[in-house]
Amino acid sequence: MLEFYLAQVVNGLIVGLIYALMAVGLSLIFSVLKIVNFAHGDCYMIGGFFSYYLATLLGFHPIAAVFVGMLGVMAVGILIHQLLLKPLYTPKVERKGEYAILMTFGIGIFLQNLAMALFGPWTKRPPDFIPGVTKLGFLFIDNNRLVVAGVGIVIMLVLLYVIGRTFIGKALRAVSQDRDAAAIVGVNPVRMNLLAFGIGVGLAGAAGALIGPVFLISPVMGILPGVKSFVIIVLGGMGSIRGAIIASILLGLVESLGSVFFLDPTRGLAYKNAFGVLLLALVLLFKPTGLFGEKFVRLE
Amino acid sequence: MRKLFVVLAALGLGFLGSAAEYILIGGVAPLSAPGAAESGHEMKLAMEMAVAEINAAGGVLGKEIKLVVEDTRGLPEEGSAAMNRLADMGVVGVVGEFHSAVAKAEIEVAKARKLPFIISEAWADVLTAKQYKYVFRIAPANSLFYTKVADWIRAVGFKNVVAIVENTDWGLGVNGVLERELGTKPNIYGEKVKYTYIVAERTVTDFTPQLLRFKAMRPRPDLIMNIFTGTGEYLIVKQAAEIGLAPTRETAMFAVGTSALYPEFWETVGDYGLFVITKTGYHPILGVTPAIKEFVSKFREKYGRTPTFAAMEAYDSIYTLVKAIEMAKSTDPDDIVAALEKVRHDGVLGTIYFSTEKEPAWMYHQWPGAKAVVIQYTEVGQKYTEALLLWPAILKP
Amino acid sequence: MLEVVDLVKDFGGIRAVNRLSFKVEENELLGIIGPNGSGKTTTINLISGVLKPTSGKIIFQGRRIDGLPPYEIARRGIGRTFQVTQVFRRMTVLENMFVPAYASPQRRSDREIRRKAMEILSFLKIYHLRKEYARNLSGGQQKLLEIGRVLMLDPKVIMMDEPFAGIHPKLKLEIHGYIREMHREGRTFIIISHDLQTIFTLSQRLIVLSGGEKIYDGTPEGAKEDERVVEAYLGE
Repeated sequence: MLEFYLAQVVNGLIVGLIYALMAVGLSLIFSVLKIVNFAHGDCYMIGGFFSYYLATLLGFHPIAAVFVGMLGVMAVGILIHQLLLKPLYTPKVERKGEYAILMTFGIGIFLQNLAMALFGPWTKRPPDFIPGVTKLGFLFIDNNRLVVAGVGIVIMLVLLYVIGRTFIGKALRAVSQDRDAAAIVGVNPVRMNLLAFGIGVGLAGAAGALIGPVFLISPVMGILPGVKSFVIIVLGGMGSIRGAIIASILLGLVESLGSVFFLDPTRGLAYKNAFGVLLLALVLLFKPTGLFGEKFVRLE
Repeated sequence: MRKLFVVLAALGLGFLGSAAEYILIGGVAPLSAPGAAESGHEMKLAMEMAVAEINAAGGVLGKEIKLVVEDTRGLPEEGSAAMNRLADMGVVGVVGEFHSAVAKAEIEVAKARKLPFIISEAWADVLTAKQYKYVFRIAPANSLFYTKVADWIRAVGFKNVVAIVENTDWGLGVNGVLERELGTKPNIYGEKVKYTYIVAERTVTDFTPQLLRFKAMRPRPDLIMNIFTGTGEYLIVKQAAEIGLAPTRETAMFAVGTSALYPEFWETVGDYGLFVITKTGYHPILGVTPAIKEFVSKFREKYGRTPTFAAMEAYDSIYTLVKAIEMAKSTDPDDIVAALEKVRHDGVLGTIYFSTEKEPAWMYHQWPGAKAVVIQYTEVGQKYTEALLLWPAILKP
Repeated sequence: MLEVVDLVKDFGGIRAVNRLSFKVEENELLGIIGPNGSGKTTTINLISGVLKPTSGKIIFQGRRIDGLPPYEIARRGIGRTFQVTQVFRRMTVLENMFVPAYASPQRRSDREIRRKAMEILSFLKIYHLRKEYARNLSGGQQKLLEIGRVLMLDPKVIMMDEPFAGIHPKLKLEIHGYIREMHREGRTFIIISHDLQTIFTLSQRLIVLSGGEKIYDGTPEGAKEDERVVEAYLGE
């Protein structure tokens, strides 16, 4: 029975890493732009399709396709930001919070329907990163999941390095903490917004591209992961990158073990998505700002 | 935007109505999320093909047919709204639907607004068991079909059957039939069949935790009933294979949903699809009628994919409705219903007619001719039409 | 080097700055004083681009800068501090110093930037705090950090909004000393203060604002005897 629980833990960790890629991007966008990107799940979906077509039509190596797909989603993000989100920083838009919600929501619906029209509703599977299964004693782990975990960790480390160690990362953090003070020392906040949005949706795209061979792709694949990332960033504390990573792993583990320890095993999987919300409710009860949250922030 | 489009479409049709003479037929199908859009689209293509052919042959009652297919998104409220919109536009009858939960809402509108409605591909018993005058069904009722699947499970001698069931009317309905049939009758060796199931949402993408639990069960399950459709169905097949659970020497995998018949099955599960068992209402071994041959080749030529059972049902639904209109020589709903009770249409799936027996309840206005065959893929990438036939044994070549 | 011509700023119906004109020469140390609501901070906000003028011109080194965004003005060499210190609280002192480096128009190597930051921190005597989070600093230390951060931009003009408000007298003297030293190095200063005593001893030239208008422009000594200035302060 120990093997069984260990297998669940490994599975939970890997799923948690996938959540983390998504949620970190959402958190980055929130911390710098002070908006919640409701199109995040759909950027994840676009990433899945980009890398699928790069690999199948253009013959890219599946792992190369993930990175090129990520760049493609970044480009889409930059376009969205320049065309549709930039008005947020002008006095033309008065109710900025509402504008951002409606705009990103609309973009999400548009992307989903566009994908439905362009790619069709059928489920697709990108080629394997590495086919087959790795047997570690009693553990059976799909090789694709191992690749997802490995590449996910690498992307996350690069991101943490950029945010924490480089000058550009410091400028990003400065804007997230105090836009006016950052502007007064020469940092262009709009440029930082663009950068954060590009990186943020790029990460979602990378997650979608990575997940393709594991969970398959379809135009609706982003809906649930999108919702989960919202849960995660609230759980981890709005705008906290570290919080998002820890909350993701936590959610992966809770979902994996929760459906096993649930009192009525026949309903365990039916309540899978509820475990995250339960966890959220518990955390918020004792720490209303989330695990690593600072204080309530809002775009004025 | 979509609403605006519908309004424009309605206005456009209204305008045409005053100028041209035509008969309007409605279609309902899930064309977008959270519905099973992949199946909805296939049904829509088949309906359009049928209408195009009928019009090319001169239409019905000397008039051209126009088809309006409404998206129900797999949501009951959207389904009843769609039916009401169609009634407002003045359709003489409606065909289609894929999700039982949605059909359940739609039959209420059909009843209230006197709309002859042929359900193409929704299986819940209750749909015909309500015995509404205006409601007919070509798709098999769950009981009609899954009793036969349960017969196969018992005939093979399975003892420990586990099921993952999608939390929809269809999934729960199938599960209900299997639970009843397997729980009350022993298998071929006279042993009691242990049937356990778990229910999961359609949105779940990681079934691994639950599948690991099955793998840890002692004795190990000998059959997994994968009562899912769409992405979930593929993921269960894939993830069960990844953890070395099924299909293996100890445990078989039965993919129940229609999606197991689509080319996407092989694209998504790859090698893991080998030895997966599934079911279909159509198989060449049942006799490849010229109608089937013709339909399959026309559909392939037009849309580049092999049609499944759902497409054939949608196609036959249109033809049957049109034939009834022709027999009735009228578009009055009561005349059409009277004609539907008498119609015999030699369709793709066989001779379509509707029973008027009221016992069992679901038999009313049901096409009793639906066949159930259990098949198994014996080669990677195999078309389901070439898969090995397991049941009914009597049909084995 | 900096010239303000007929500057006007309206907030709704209220005119905060009215046809204000003045010039600042290179390496001047200009003080701006005036009663509450006289438009001092608004003037600085207009020059630094935080606010857009209703009308009028601001010319820096021969080019108009009014209407430019704050970061552009900062990059051209006008730095400022705030009345309420605005440091990046969730970053260390050293990280705070690096934020302007990214925006700096001169491309310098990482090593140079580091060396420069260390130099400035030593100059301000907060080098020992470099690894501390800014939120853990005292109010006075945060003020020094803010000054240090502005220096990272290597600005030609430094505008300070109430640098002596609410700090320990010892620190006041210290900042006083830093300003003199930086001024000796050739920088231009515009300082707003309520603290008349300090500003009188510090500045070379004084502008007095009242009700958004300039009522005096001259030596600090002369201001003490000016009727309008005395009236403006007594009226307060």
